[in-house]
Formats: sequence, C-alpha cells, structure tokens
Amino acid sequence: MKTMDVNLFIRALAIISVVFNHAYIDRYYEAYGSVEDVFFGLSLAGGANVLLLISGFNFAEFIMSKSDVSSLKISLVGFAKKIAIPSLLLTVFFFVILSKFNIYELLFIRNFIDNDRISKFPIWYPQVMLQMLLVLYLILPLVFGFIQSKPWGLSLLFLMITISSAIIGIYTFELDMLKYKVPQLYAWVFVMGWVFYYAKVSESLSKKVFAFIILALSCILIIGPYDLNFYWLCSAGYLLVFYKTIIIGKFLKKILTIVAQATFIIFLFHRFFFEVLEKLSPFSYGYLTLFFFGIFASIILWASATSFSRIYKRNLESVG
Amino acid sequence: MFFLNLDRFNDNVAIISGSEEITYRELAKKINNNSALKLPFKSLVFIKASNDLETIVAYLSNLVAGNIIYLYDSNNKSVVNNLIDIYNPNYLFENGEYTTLHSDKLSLHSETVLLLSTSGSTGTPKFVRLTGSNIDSNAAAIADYLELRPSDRALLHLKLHYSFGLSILNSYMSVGASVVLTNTTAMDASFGKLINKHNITSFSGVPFIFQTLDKASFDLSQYPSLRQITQAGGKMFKDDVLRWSKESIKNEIEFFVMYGQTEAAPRISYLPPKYVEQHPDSIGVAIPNGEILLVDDKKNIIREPNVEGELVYRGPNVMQGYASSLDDLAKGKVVSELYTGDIAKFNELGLFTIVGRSSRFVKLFGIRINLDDLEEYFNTLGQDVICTGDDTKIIVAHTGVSNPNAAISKLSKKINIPETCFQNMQLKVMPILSNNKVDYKAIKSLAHKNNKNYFRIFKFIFTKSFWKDYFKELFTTLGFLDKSLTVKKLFFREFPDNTSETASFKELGGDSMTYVTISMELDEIIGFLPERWESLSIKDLIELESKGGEL
Repeated sequence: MKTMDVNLFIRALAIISVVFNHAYIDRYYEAYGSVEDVFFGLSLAGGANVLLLISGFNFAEFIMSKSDVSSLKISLVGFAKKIAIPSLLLTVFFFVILSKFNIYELLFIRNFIDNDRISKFPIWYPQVMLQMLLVLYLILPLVFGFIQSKPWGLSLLFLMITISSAIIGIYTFELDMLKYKVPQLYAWVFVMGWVFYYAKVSESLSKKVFAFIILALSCILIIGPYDLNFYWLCSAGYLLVFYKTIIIGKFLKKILTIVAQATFIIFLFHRFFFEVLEKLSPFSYGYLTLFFFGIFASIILWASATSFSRIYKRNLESVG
Repeated sequence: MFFLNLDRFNDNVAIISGSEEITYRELAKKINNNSALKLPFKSLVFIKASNDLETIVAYLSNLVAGNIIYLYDSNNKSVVNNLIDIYNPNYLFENGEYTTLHSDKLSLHSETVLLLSTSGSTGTPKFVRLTGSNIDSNAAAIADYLELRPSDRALLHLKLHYSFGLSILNSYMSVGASVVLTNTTAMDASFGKLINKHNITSFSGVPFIFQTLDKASFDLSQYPSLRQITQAGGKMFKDDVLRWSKESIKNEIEFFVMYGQTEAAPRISYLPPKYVEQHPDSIGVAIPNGEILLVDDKKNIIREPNVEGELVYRGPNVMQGYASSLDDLAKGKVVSELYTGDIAKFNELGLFTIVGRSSRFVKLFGIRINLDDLEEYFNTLGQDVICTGDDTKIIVAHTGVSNPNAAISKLSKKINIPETCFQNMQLKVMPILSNNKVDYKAIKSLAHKNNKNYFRIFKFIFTKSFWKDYFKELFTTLGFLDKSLTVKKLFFREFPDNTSETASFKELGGDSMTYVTISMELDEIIGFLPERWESLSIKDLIELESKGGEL
C-alpha cells in the first residue's frame, strides 16, 4: 500500500468521472444530473465541480499567497495563460477542421450568448475560469492587504458574495438556455476552494468543520440533495479539508498518478478522442470502450507532449 | 630607456620586413628624421598597428618624442572611430603618413607614453596607461631572464597592438637583437618556412597558436636555428605544456611558460625551463625586479604554501592606471600594485600556480566551478573545447569533437551538476580576438542567438538522436522505465532558470500544474511526499533525499 496526496487523488477521480460521464452521456443521455440516473444509469456527474473546487484550493495556495501585488498579478496572468493558450489553440483547431467560426467562442464569451459550441471539448470550463480570473485580476489587488492579514475572513466574505450571486442567478435569471455555464453560478465553488485551503493550513479543527458545514449547506441551497454534484462536492470537500494523504494500492496509485498529471490534457482532449473513435472505429462499442479510449489516448497525448517538450529543451542548444 | 640612442647597437640588424633589412644605425636615423620629433608639444598619436617597418619607426619615434601612443588594430575601423571620438587624438598615423586631426594642446601627463587596450579590440574604450619606465623596465627584465643576445632573432607574427607582441619587439630591441616582421600566422603553411629563411632563434605564441601548430604536426626538429620558444597569453593545458617542453628539450630548445597582464606592460612571471616538466601548470617566479604576493579576502598577505589567494604584483612595470576618457590621460600614477584578479597559490619551491581567474569561475547550485578546469578535463578526454558561461549555464563550444554529449554526461556526474546545465555548441570557426585569445564574449553571444534560431531548432526534430531520446523519455514518463531522477535534476528540469538551492517551490513561482508533476516525482525520489514540501527549500529536499526521507 502507498500514500497519495489527497489533492491529487481527488483530482484524478474527478477527471475520471468527467470522462466517464461524458462517455456515458454520449452513448445514452442528452442531459445528466438527477439521482435516478445513479440507479437506472451510471452517471457520475460532478467531477467538473470537484475540479473547480481543487482549482480554487490551489489558487489560494499558489497565487493568493504571493507576497506582493505585482507577483500576485503576474502569477494570475501566468495561470490564465496556461488555460487560455491551449484552449484557444484547440478552439482554432476545431474551427479549421470543421470549417466553422464563431467570434464569441473565439473570445471565450459564448457561454453568455447561447448553449451551442463548435469546439469538441468542454469549452465552458476555460470560459468560466478565464472570466472569473479576469474579475479577480481587477478585484484582488484592491483587497491585497486583507489577503495578507485576514485571508480566512476575506475568503468567507467572497464566499458569501459568490453564493449570493449564484442564488440570485438561479432564481432570478433565465439561465436554463445557457445550461447554467456562467461564472456567477460556479464562482462559489472556486471560492469554496479558498475557504478549504485557509481552513486546512490553519490546522484549526473548528475552521475545518465550519468550512465543511458551509460547503454542505451551500450545496443544498444551490445544487440540492438530489443531484450527484452534491455528493461529489461534499465527499471531495471532506477528504480535502480533513486529510492530507490517502492510503491506496501501489498499482492504483501509479495509475492515478499519471491521470492526475494529465488532468488538464484529458479534460481538453477526451471529447476529441471520442470523435476520433466515432469516425475511425469500424466496430460498434459501448460507453466503457469510449471512456477508456478517451482517457488513454489523452494520457498518451500528454506523455508525448511532455516528453517532446523535455527533450526539446534539453537538446535545444545543439548547434549545427 | 631602450628606445633612446638605438644607434648604440651600430650595424646589428634591427628589423627585417619582407626583403628589407635595416640596421640599428639606419633605424636611429629614420627615427631622428621622423616628424614625431618635430611636434611643438606632447601629443596624442593613434598609430595603425601593422607589422611593418613604418609602424615600428612611427612607434619608436613617438616614444622618443615623449608623445602618447595608441597602437590600434587595423581591422577594426569602427572601434577606432569610436576611440577617436572619445580621446580626440592630435594625429593619426597610417600607411606611412601622419594625418593631423587637430592642433590643440591636450592635457596629457608628462610620463605617459603608451596606451594599451585591456581587451582584444572588442571596442571597450578602457586603456592601460604606461610610462617609458614601465615598458623599459619590463623589456629589460624579459631580456634578462630569457638571456637575450644581440645575435638573437625573433619572429614577430603577433600583432603589435597586443601587449605580448609589443613586448617581444621591446625586449629584443633592448639588447640590440633582430626582429623579423611578418603578417604570416601560425595557420599559414609558410610559417615554418619563414623560421628557416631568416634563421629565427625564437618564436612566441598564445595557447591557440600552439594548438594550431600541433594540428599541423609542427616538427621542431625541422628548425635548427630555434633556441627558444615562449608561451604566454593564457593558460596552456598541462599535457600541451609537457609535450612542447619534451619536444623542445629533444631539440635543445628552451621552452618558457610566461604569465602577465597588459597592466604590467605586460610580463609578470616566467617558469624557468628546468621546472617545466615537474611543474607544467605553474607560472613560475616573478620577473627580475618584480615581486609576486598572494592576499586573502581581507587583503592579508598569505605566507603559507598551497593556500589560495589573489595574486598581487609589485614592480617598476606596473601601470600608472586606467583611462576611460580624455581627462584620464592627464592623471599620473594612481596604482601602486596590481591586483590581478587571478587566484593562485605557491608551492614549497616558491613556484606560483594560477588556480583560476575570478572571472573564469561560475557558481551553479552553490558549487564554484572553474571553467579552465572544465576545459582541462575535456582535454584529458581528447576533446578540444572552450568552456564559458555564467551562473545559469556552462557553454561547451568546439569546432567538432566526437560525442561531446558523452563527455558532458561524465563531467556532470563528476561535479554533480545536472547535464541540462551544459550547453553543447558546435561552431564552424572558434571566435578569436585579434590577440589570438578566445573571444568568450562572442561565444556567449552566439549561444544566445542559437537559442533563438527556430529553424535550426526545427531541423533538430528530424535527427535520430532526438527521437531516440524522445521515446526513452516517453516510456519513462508513462512509468515503464526508471527515472533515475534526483531532486536537483527535477527542480532544474522544471525551473531551468534557477540554480539556487535555497529557494522553495513556492518561491520559484511554482503553480498548480507543476505542483502535480513535482509532487509525483518527489514521492518517487524520496519515497514519500514530505508534508508542506512546496515550502521546503531545494536544499532541504536534497537532504531528505540523501537521508532516505528523514531531516
């Protein structure tokens, strides 16, 4: 048996669930999310929210912890670039191969316009993330002093604001047509990650318990207990705030290690590989084949790109 | 002063230039008739440094006249124009003629007679200011330890604007010996022929010249007139020194290793031939009337042998000081002793050895690395390379050696620096300064340019070695092969611009993406993932690695 960092463990499971769910949906369902599907289908919807929670957790750890405003801004921009550049390249790729174009999709604002998309990947996620990061870029420098002196309090304040915006968003606006893929409905999950981070590093049990309770209540309020997302978020939150490591089998750890490292690539490319299999396979196949193909092809792509990049840099200086 | 009353050497042959041969008497007459002596006041004169008679006459005439001379490299007109703008010389001497630039009286120190550039025509306007006594005393000292005779004949192939070249002229003239001027270089096939044609008794060179002669299989036995060979202008590899020394002894030639700096006009020390075989990496002892000391960081004199310190020289040949502007030419002596910037030690015999030049050290991962030592190491592997770099990277430049990557790999393990800190760079031609020294600055600049050469980078993707490495890395990434990664290599891979071990992952600007990769690898390397590892310094993580996970 081996120990694994709980952050990475949850990340790996979350992305597996995203791919599985999409594979399942592509084969059987147009929509997902109700508890009946857990029993009558095998939907594992909820991974995307967990990824968002972890993103928020890591954001607090690596970006909000910067010692000055300019470092904060630089890190924030760096983080945004790492999301934007591959997403943009992939978007353009799909525009080209499908011979279609949409300016809003290119500008990553289509989630505010309609629920259609050309790109064959969950583009809503980078759209929502980049939109949130833009707002944070403007706001965080103004409250930088509080980030340094009262991070826990500030994160709770932001959480209240974002929960409010989610509730107002759900009950006031018609977001159904946008499939709710707008930042005001997801920001609270991202900020919840901050709350969890500050609770965890404080080592205070009361803060950790408080954070978990806030999560559960927010989930009930916004998601409702009849949605798998609720259980995903609560389970992930529980592990994230109360545990540092988790004990699992050596082989499983090896698999999850690779999956965790390849998370972003898997997220971006699994749907593309679904399409590839669809176009190329002469045989019929079920959702499991689709799932495994999506995961493994994405992992191979990630490993190839990583290896290429390392060898390229290592040998960059050979001159002919 | 040696340059006064040269007619005292009567009809000894002074200069041979092409088919022209003039005696000291004739030379003195030419000097007396030179217009440099007819100037109304002390002037600043820029002389185009060609290895020809007119240049020598102009140089000596202006010395006699007490003017301030700057001998400039004729190949670098733009540099000279820049210097003319800064220093506003009165006259320019080129192609046998003086050109008057202006007739204003400049504020020039009465004792200064010579300006020498401290670099090989790279354009820096910084000069070393020397007096007549500086160059005279140094010429006499060199003639003394070399035991020069009036019958000696030196081949002057080194450039006159280079202090080593000029010192050959000065020292031979100081004893009434002959100098054969030539523009032939050691790379020319006719170099050897010249030696025999003029019965040359001595030639001199910098390490690069000796390497060139080695490649051309220069056979000393073919040159019976030779009695001395002198080497200066940089550290020659031990093996090369031994080889040249052995060959010299076989052919009854004295082989002198010498050391100096332009700031000392230029000779500081020499290694008597009898010590060369036993101490091939030594620079020997101070020249006559000179003194060498070592000082520590606090400027205390080191008196114990085998203790390293900065080499300091005292003697009548130490410069007045530097000049960076015209105003500086009015200054007198501001330097009493010369801090060379070289790190050295001496042994029980009192022979000094240069351990390294302070500018030839780099520091990577807290390890001080002597670039000269690295070159020596490659040399022992039979690889002729030049090493330069800075605190982020070591550049290994060569014009074609077999399998340099294997040597780099060996070296990286030996000195415990990741292989990726080394940049292997093959060049068509090694950039050399006009004083025949390696142009390290140009190599660094080329290295930087190559990193931006995207076409070359693109081409590299189609090489066999790239794909071999790629598949190996692919299988390693997927966990099918052992990674044999260390903490140091891991952090250098992810943060190639960082070579400090005191920084932590967070301080290096690590983000959530690199966090995942590094935590996975650390888990493998250390055996578990240390708590809050992202805030631990690289040094702490390395310690954990070495202690199997316990701090």
